[in-house]
Parts: sequence; C-alpha cells; structure tokens
Amino acid sequence: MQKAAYLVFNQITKAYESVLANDNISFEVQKGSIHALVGENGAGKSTLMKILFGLETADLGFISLNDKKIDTLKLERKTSERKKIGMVHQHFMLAGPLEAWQHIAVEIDSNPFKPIGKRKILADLNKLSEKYHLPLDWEEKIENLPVGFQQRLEILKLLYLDAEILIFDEPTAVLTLIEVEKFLQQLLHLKRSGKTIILITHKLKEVKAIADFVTVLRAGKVIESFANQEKSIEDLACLMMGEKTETFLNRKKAESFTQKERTVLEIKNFRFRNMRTPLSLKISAGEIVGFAGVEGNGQNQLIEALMHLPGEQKNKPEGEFRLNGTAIKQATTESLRKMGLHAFPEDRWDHGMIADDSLSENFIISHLENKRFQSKGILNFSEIGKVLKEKIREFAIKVDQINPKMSSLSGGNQQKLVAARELFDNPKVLIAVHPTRGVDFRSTQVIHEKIQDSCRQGMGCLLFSSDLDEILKMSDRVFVMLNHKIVAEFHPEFDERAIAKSMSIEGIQH
Amino acid sequence: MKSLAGLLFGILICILLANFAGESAINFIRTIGLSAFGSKYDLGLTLFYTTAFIFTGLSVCWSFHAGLFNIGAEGQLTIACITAAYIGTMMPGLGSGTSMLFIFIIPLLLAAVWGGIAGWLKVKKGSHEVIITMMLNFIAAAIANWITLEKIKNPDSQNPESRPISDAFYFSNDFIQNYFTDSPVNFSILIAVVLCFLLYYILNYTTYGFKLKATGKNAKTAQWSGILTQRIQLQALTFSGLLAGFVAWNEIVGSIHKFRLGFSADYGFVGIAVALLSRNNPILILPSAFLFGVLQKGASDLDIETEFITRDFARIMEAIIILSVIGFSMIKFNKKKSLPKSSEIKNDL
Repeated sequence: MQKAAYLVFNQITKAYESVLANDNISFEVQKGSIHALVGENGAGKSTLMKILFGLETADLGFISLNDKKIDTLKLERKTSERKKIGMVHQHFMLAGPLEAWQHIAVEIDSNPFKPIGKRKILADLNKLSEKYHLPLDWEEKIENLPVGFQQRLEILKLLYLDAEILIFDEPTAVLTLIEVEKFLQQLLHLKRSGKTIILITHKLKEVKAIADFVTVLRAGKVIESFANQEKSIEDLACLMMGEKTETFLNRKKAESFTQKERTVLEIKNFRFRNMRTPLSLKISAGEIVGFAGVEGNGQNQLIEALMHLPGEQKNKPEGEFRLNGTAIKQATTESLRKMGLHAFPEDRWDHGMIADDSLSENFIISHLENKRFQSKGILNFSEIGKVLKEKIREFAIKVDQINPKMSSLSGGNQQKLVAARELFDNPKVLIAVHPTRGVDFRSTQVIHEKIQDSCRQGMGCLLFSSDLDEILKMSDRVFVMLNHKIVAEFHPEFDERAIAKSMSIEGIQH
Repeated sequence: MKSLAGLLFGILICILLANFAGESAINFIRTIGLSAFGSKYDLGLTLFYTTAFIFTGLSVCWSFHAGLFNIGAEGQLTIACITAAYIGTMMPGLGSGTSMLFIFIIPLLLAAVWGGIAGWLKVKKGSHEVIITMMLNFIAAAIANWITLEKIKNPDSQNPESRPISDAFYFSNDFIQNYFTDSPVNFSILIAVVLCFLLYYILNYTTYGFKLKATGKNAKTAQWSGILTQRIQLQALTFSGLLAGFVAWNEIVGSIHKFRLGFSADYGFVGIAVALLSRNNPILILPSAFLFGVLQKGASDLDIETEFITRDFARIMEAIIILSVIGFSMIKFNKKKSLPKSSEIKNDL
C-alpha cells in the first residue's frame, strides 16, 4: 500500500569547501512511518538533518513538506513548516538543575513578564504523557532523571510543541539494553498516533526491528532507499559499508613480515575504564593487527589505556603489559615511548601537533630525549634541521619554506610529518589511529608504505581505523570492536561481509 | 614591532586624556619624566620598582608558558619577605657565610612551596589555579600580619612594621646602592637582569623549556608525545613562586631591611601586566618592567605637581597601555587561521 509522499528531499546538495557532504540527495518519507537513515560516520546523515532542521543551508535542491516547499537556502527555523519538525539530539540539550516541567515551560512563547501558570502547564503535560503513554515525573529535577527519562522529556517537549516529524540522532547510543527495548516500543506508539519518525543510526538490528523504510547514505549519496522487509540485515550492512570494489585494485596485502617467534607486545588480563571484559593480546614483530569497528565502541579507551595517558588517577589500567619482552609496571607515556611504543593519535589537530609551532618543533616533540637532538638538555638545532630536511624529502612533504608553521600545511602533509615523527627512531610497536583519515590518496600511499617498511624491520603495528578498506589492505589479522569489547577475530583471507556484519550486529561469533 | 606601536599609541591616548582633563601635555610629560629620571635618587627609586616588577613579571610569565595563570605572585613574595624579615630579626648571630645562605635561600624555598601548593592542588585535585593562588594571597597576607605584629613588631615605631634585620645580612659592598646614594635600588637588579636572560635561554634553547611551552600550547599533544604535563605544571607553579620570592632580596635584604605592612606596590598584580606587555618574552620583560617602574614612580608626583590629575591616573595609564599593546598584537593574530583543508578529505569512490 503506497501512501502519498509526505516529506520529500529533492536533489539536496551541500559542499563544504570542495567536499560534497550531500550529493544530489533525493528520497521520500511517508507520513506516519518510521524511516531509518543509515550510513557510516561522515556519510552525510547529520548534514542532511541539519538542512532539514534549519541549522544549515543547502547549496542546491529543496525539501517539501505536505507539498509545501521549505526554503533550504535560508536559515529559518520559525517558519510554520519547520515548526513541525523536531529533533532529539544525540547529546540532550537539557538544563540539569531545572525541574522537568520547567524545561518545557521555557519554550512557550508568551509575554516574558507574565507569570508561568505552573498548574495549567502541569495539567497539559500530564494529559500529553497519558496520550502518548510516556509517563514522567514532571516535578523531578532533570539531573536526577535516568537517561531514558531525559530522552523521554526531550520527546515530550517536541510533542508539546506539536512537532509532526521527529528526528532521532543515534537515540540508543546512550541507553542500556532494557531502555533500548522500551524506547523502541515508544517509537511504535508514536508512529501509531500519526507521527512521522526519522531515525538516524548505524545499529542495524534496531533498524530491522522497527523501521518501515530505510535509506542508505554513503559518501554523501543515496545508495538505495527501500522498504525494510525487502532486504536482509546482511545486505543492509554491506550497503552501508559499501563493496567499493574499485578501490581494491591493490587491496591484497603484498606480503607479510610477521615473525611469529618474536612477540613485541603482549598484554594479559588488561583492565581499564569502560572495558567490558579484560583484554589479552599478543603482537608479533612485523605484524600489523587491524582493529575494525564503528567509532565510539571503545577504541579510544583502549588506545589511551595502551599508551597510559594520564587520565583520572582511579582509572589506571591494570594487568600484565610486556613490551618487547620486558614486563612493565608503573608505566607512563614517557617511559613507554622510551621503550619504543609510539603512537599516532586519532585527532591530529588536537592531539598530534601544535598548530602554531614550526615543523621542526612538531617533529622533535616526541623525541626530546633522543641524544641526536640534545645533549644535557640543550637542543641541537643544526642536527634537528638536518633530520627534518631528510624526513621532508623521504616522506615527500610539500613545504614552501625550510621550516614553516605546522598550520600552513595541508592535512595530508601534516599527517605525513606526524607519521615521519612516529616512525622515527625504530619504534618496536606503533599504534596508528586513523593514520590516513582526511589524507589524500598519494599521501595515504606514502604513509602505508612507510608503515610497511618499518614492519619489515620488525615493528609491530596496531592499526585502528574506521576505513575498512585500509584495514583489509594492511592487516595480517583483524579484530572487531563493538560495545567496548572485542567481538571477533579474523584471519586472511578476510571475509569482508562477515567483518562488516560483526561491526554492527552483536552476537555473531566467528 | 606591533607591541612598540601599541605602546606609542597607548601613550598618545594617555596624553590626549591628560589634555582633556585640563592638563597641558608638556607639563604632564615633564612631571612624569622628572619624577622618574629627575635625579640619581629618583632614577634609583624607579629602578627599585623595576626590579620588583621584573621578578613578579618573570613569575607570571613562567607559569603562563605552561598554560597556567599565576595571580599569586603577591602572596608568594609576601611569604618570602616575611620569612626573610623573620630570619633577619630572630637569628642575628649567624656567621656571615651561613647567614647569607639562610636569608637568601630559605625565603625563596618557602615562596616556591607557596606556589607549589597551588600547583599540587591543580594537578592532583583539579582545582583551578586562579582561585587557589588568589586565596593563597589572602592567607599569606594574614600570616605576614600576624608575624609582623605579634612576633617581630618594631617597638620603636608607630608604623605597623617589623624590627630591622641585623646588618650582618645586608649585601656587602653593594656598588649599585653606593652609586645611587640613598636610593633603595640595590644589587638585586643585576640578579633580575641575569634571570631574564637565563630564563630566555632555558625557554628557547633547552628541552625543558620546550616541554614547558608544549604543555602550555597543547597539553594533549604534549601528553601523547610522552611529556608528563602534570609534573611540568607542578614544577612551573613552584618555580613561579620561587621567582616571585626574589622580591625579598630586593626589598628586605637589599634596601628597606624590615617588613612594613603594605610595602608592596601591588608588585604581584602589576607583574601580570608586565608579563602581558612583554608577551611573555623574558627579555622584553626588562623594558616592560621599566615602563611600569616609571609609571609607579611618576604616579606619586602627578598628584602634587599637576592641578587636575591624581595618582590614580597612573593606573588608568597602565590599563590603557596594556589594552592598546594587546589590541595591536591582536591585529597580527587575526590572520585567518588555516584549518585542515577539507579538500584533503578522501572521497572514497
């Protein structure tokens, strides 16, 4: 039974500088349905919703709601059409010390000097709660409400404001398993009472369970839009991750440098913040171990624990930690680096470089103890300059002067410098986190080759990436992380579908 | 260069303001000039203030480089001064070698501890250093009051001050003081100047200075690179305290020889302005501190020598000059910050 189109996206295009975040996006959402919008990080989901919601302008295209056009080229949020659209953000926009009803009272447009009629509002709100089966203790302080109820408050606010389309951005990311079930029930209730729901998520089980229609976005384009029952969950996973056969020309790992008999990193019963289960791993010299997974499934915590970054004192990682055969107790980032554990951080701009400093300063920052660069604590600038010059040539870093500021370089060149820094001085183990994110093709090649060169010399590498292609191309072994634990381990020949599946569906074991 | 332009612009505004208040510009400049440089004695007094401002300016500047805002130089120098006064009055009999050691080193150490308390609370408990150092200022002032009035009060004076320290503790053969007869400027000014160059060297040519600056510029990157930023921050505040403590050499050991309540011309707070004006460059702290020395000295005569301007006008001048210097330096920083180019973001198809 095909209903008339209700919300129509027509050729929405949005470019940030030269990247198309939304590329000619067209699809339809039907009234009273649950429409899931799925895709990897950076697929363009959020941009599209911001355009719909009026937080961003589109460069081209339009959206129509009930045959009325919404001007997507303007940032207007108070038009009658946009008022029908409400969004529950991933991070709730709540003021903790207020009572629940006050959160809604502040949204009411009225004379600012008129006293708020608490009793009337409460009566209205209770009626609303009853109508949608969403009970809530309206006089409790927001900060005392459990997360699920805070979310409920956000939903009720939108209902109070008569929103007809409810957008949910990763709504279940913050919920516990039981809360998730309740939440999904709520969505079905809302659908039955005539609301239209757009659900942004990459949890495919949930999509499968409640959505009526699914639209898959990838790299800013609509890959496919279909009714939920038409595809299996496996197909969905593959659509989301993409086959991307074109980029697989040199996908096959050329050779493996693994020296099985030499272990460079061994951890046993390693426990740390938020990790569900203690972790044990062994990494051999020359081996590249890929860690695949959707971001936010515990990768960052694992990396920070491995590097022993100074976090909160209580959350010191515990367990056995052997680097290059030596058991380490009381590790600090400094001592680990001295022993040959190097790392590229995930966030180059904030964790990997000092933007206002020159290249040479950014290069030596993690080699300050190196005897080549200093003697008795006094820096040897001529030697630093020499090494920098060498590395600039070796990594083909494009510079327009001898020692420019880091911020004047393009992302790819910045990342090449970070790579040069971390691969310098024969590291024993390298933790590479998104080593080529935001990096152009040529620089990616350089960085990959250099990592492989070091592995040939016996370096072990832990490669964290959300780019599955990169992991498949580089790794000798692949772990998949989901919900703060390692859920699967794969060996070559890699089954890409199986890996993609295990990244988003829990409970599949291999 | 920008700073210099800002400085001139600020002075111009001040002169215009003075003119506006009904004072002729020439008279205004002459008053300040004469007050600051008019005689050997006047110049000596200006340099005396300058010395204190150099120490406190360095103190603020050092922790600034580690990303910390030390507004506790006032308390740190108070602790050092009261300690020096206490040692000088209560232990007069020490032999000349050891006595010098005591009165020079112990005040510095206690001032360092005073800064270190703030550093420790910052690093271990996450307290904000601004709040802590500010509170410690009050505590230091209260301790100093109590010791001065209860333990080492000067019975021969109506003023709230301590007994003079024993002359065994004076700088021996202080040629600077001898040159500026009767003026309080003393040997400490040489130490201050040497410290400026020394700290400049440490900041720019050593691994330690590099770590300090990296911690201040981007602590996360520093941590990832294996710099123990917490330790650096603790050390920075401790060393800041020590630098502020040098004021005791200038004040107690070098010139006044006793602890007078309210002796400090807000040295610790003006030190913030000195550091700001120098853009945290230890060598530029020299001219910056000198400028504030001139204004400090000139302020007292503005009241007497001019018809319409009071000493508070000097404060206004300080503020205007700081604002215009910062304003001018902002022009440079306003250049478009180049973000990572999104054109680099790989399109994976």
